Amino acid sequence: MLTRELSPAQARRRTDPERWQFQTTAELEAQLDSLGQTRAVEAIKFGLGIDHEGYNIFALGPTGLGKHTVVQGYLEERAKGMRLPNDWCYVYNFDEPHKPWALELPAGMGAEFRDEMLQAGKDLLSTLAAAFESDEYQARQQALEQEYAERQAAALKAVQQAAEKDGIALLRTPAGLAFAPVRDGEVVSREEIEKLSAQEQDQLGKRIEELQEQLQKSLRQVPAWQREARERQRQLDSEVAAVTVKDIYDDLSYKYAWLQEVTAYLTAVRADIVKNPRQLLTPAEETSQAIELMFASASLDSAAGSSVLRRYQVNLLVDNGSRSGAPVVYVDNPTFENLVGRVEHVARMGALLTDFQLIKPGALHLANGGYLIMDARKLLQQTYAWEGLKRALQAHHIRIESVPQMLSAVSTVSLEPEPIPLDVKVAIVGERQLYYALHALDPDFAELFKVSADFEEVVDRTPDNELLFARLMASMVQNLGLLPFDRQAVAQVIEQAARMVGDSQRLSTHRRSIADVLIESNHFAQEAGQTTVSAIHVRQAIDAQMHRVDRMRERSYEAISRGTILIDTSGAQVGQINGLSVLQLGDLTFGRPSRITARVRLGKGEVLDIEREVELGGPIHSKGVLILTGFLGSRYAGLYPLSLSASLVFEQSYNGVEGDSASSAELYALLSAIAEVPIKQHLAVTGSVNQHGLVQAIGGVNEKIEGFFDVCKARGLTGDQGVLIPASNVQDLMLRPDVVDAIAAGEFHVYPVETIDQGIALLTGLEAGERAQDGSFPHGSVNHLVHQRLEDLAQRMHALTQGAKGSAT
Amino acid sequence: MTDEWPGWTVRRILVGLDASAPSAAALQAAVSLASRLHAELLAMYIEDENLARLAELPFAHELGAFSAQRRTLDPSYMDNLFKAQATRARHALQRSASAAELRWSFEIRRGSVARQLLLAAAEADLVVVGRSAIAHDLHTHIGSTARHLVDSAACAVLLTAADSLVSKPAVILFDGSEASLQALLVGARWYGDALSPLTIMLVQQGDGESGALEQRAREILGYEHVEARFVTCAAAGTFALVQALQGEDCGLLIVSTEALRSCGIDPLHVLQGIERPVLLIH
Repeated sequence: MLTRELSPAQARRRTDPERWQFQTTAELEAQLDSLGQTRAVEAIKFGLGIDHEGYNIFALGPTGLGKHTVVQGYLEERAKGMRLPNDWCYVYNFDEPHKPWALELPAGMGAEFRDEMLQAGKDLLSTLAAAFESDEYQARQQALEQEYAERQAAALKAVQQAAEKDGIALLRTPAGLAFAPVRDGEVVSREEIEKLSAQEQDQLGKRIEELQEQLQKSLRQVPAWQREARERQRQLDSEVAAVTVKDIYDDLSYKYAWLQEVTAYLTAVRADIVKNPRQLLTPAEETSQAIELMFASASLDSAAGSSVLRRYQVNLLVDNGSRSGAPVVYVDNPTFENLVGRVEHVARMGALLTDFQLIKPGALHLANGGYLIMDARKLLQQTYAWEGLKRALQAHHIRIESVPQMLSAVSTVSLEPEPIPLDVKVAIVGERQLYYALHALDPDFAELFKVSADFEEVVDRTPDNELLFARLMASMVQNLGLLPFDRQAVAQVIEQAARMVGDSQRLSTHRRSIADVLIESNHFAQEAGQTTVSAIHVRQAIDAQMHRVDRMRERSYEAISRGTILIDTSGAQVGQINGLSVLQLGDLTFGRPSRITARVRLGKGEVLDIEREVELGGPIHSKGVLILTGFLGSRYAGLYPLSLSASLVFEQSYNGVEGDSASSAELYALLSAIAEVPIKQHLAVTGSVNQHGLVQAIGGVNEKIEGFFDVCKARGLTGDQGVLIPASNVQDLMLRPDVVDAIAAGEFHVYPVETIDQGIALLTGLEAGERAQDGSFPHGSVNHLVHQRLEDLAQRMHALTQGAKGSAT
Repeated sequence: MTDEWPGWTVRRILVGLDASAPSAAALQAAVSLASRLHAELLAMYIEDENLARLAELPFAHELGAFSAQRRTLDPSYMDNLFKAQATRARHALQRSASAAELRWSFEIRRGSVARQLLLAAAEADLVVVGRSAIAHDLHTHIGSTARHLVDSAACAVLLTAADSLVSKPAVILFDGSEASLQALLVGARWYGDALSPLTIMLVQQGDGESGALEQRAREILGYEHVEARFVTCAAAGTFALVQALQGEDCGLLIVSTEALRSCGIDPLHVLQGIERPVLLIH
């Protein structure tokens, strides 16, 4: 049976631009839904529609498919119609300062409340200062001071007057008070005292002792009086402050009366001011003051006044005032702290200080009431970020704590802000292996991310999809700000999209790669001074892409053309064939011919895979070789032992061989070696084979054909060169235009083969030979020659075995 | 035009220190004035002979001013207290005077506080002491030492209180006499640049016109480029004057003792009646 070579149309499935109505992409309606992502889009819509715990979304698929764009697009669309989430603030906790309170206010009122509290604080200072300087307050305070000063003085005066009657003065010593007998304002000397009689001295001493006791009693009352004075002073201060506070905060209390928590906070503020108003006017050296000093130069609003006012200010954590609809937040750097928020510190004199004003929101705060998007890889790369996210989602609230706090690794006193209730839907975008790894390794994952949106990297190449692809291109061109693409250029990009997936029946949906082609084509069009991108620019861009990365390919072909690597592209050889392999280096994938040789001799029926022997062959390659043995044995040596020893090798291969795509080539080489029939060297072969001799599909067929084409072209095309490929790979063909042109010109040929027999016939020019009913093959056919040789070898083996037995007996 | 009313040059300022709160106020005032007038500061700590004698008495005891605890006094204990107080006073002086870059000296003497200060005052142009500093008398506004200085010092005396001198405007008594003119000039030149204008209290002598008195004061202050507000003390006598002064919300009182006496007013009575700092110009 003659194998028909492929036509140019089969070698590259063209897209006919003439069937489209449009001239350029500028006339096309943009494609909003991502092409071919129906399954993923449905999953996203499903996930968004369910408002229950755990229905978070994991969008999986290779990078560059546009998962992020699609997810964000749907989330933003849905968020528009959603309720505006409330604002959140942190305020001072007057009962436990290290546990700041969280206040929830309707959207937009947070900023209002913050500004009002700031203004109230400023007003408070000036009003309070005025109140304490008022005549009324001064008069009452002086009266109070006077009262206690007089009480104290009166007590001392009574003692002093009693002493003076007896000629004794009360003196102030450096450390206290003392009594001494005086005369003319001078203390009587010791000599004069000694002149007194013993009785007089005794009386004087006793009298002084009495006075001292009296004074002692008076002095002991002083602390109690001072306490009483301080208490009355505090009462007076509180009384004055209460009036001031009422004046300033009444309006606020009235305005926010309907918000229970805000009302409670305002009550606490008022109570705190009234409790100790003096501290506002004479602030002590305390933490808040230190912090304000740190920020005094940086703060634009240092007019906030006294640092003690910090405690009455509001830290607006989440401000939704300027938003319309629910938030959609993408967190670019999903560290633990960027997710759950953090408490910042300022360093002062070697100490780290903080307060509720230094609490900063995380992405969860900002996305609360809406959606949060992040990349799985980035999330998992950050220490404890995944753990932090899970904890927040499971607990339904955001607790701001540092990693060491979460792990209980430190026990230093720090802020413990009140947790904020969390209502957010999370969409994680990541690669498939991450999704499956999380699914397998983390039992919480399946509970929290119940919706998987699996993005497809290919789409069927139907006429409808080609048009949708053109519309997708139109939207990308529009978004990227590129020149419009004419329809020939669109067709060229579509063909390239098919080539990207190595399948003429499908198109790649890899947005990033498509965008690269568009941008680069646009660049060449602009360089050429065109206003529209044409097919030639697209081709230029694709060729340039290849040229930029194909240094290794060129070096490889150069080695063949210089004869360093031996490849024949003409003539015929026994036991030698051109196999085809594919090499992948980063972005570059290219095919390269390799010489495969086979040698046979009398043996025990084993085929030696030299690659495996030296551990350069992978397991799949070895499997392919073992299949050959099975094929040989079953087809030719069914009735006698396979008595040959064959060796197979990839010549000049130093980096290992993997895959079974060369197994058909190896079999051809083996059959050639057994039958001693030469193989045409202007042909190259790819395809795997099964034990029945059927040729099976392989990968990288386009690159392999092009690889052999390039080698032949470099040496000059002879017109009979070509490649044998599995027939089942024909649908994958999207060959380069120059290869297709060569095929059209009859300079190069691609033969689809289904069986080994078809292949060997092409390679040897002899009939393969079908087995007759009596088990024989037609004379002169390859199969006949193989069969005959194997039979001959078996007989020789038998004779040798018998001879050996005879000599042994 | 200042030549018309020659100023009073202050080259040396004597300040009595005892490390108490009133004495700290006196030191602050003295340093401020010395700095302003480029004068030398002579500081003196006097170990009170009365306290030294007290410590020698067999029944001498001291009650802690804060704790009310009774402690036996003896000369060595008292000496230690003197030394500690002198050291504190010297340190305070050193800090303040060095900061103001003043020439200063510190001397420790033993004896009667009033007498020693009076003796030292002979070498100075101005004596600064706390109103109740170094005072043994506890229930009057003015201590015995201050009283002696007011009575006997040949130079001017500044009696300070706890309040800062510049926190409120100074008030100057002016009756048109040459002595009160000196007080007016000192007030204008020393405190005329304070934030608030000076208050000139016009004290009427006999049947003179207060308008003429004010005119005279304005003329002098005009030459000194100093603003002032004027009040009149209508009635004569100590009581009226003290009442008038109490009614003014002012800081330092600047007054000439000679002028007061010529009005039949004892300067000590005025000092007893008011609690603010006073600069007496003799």
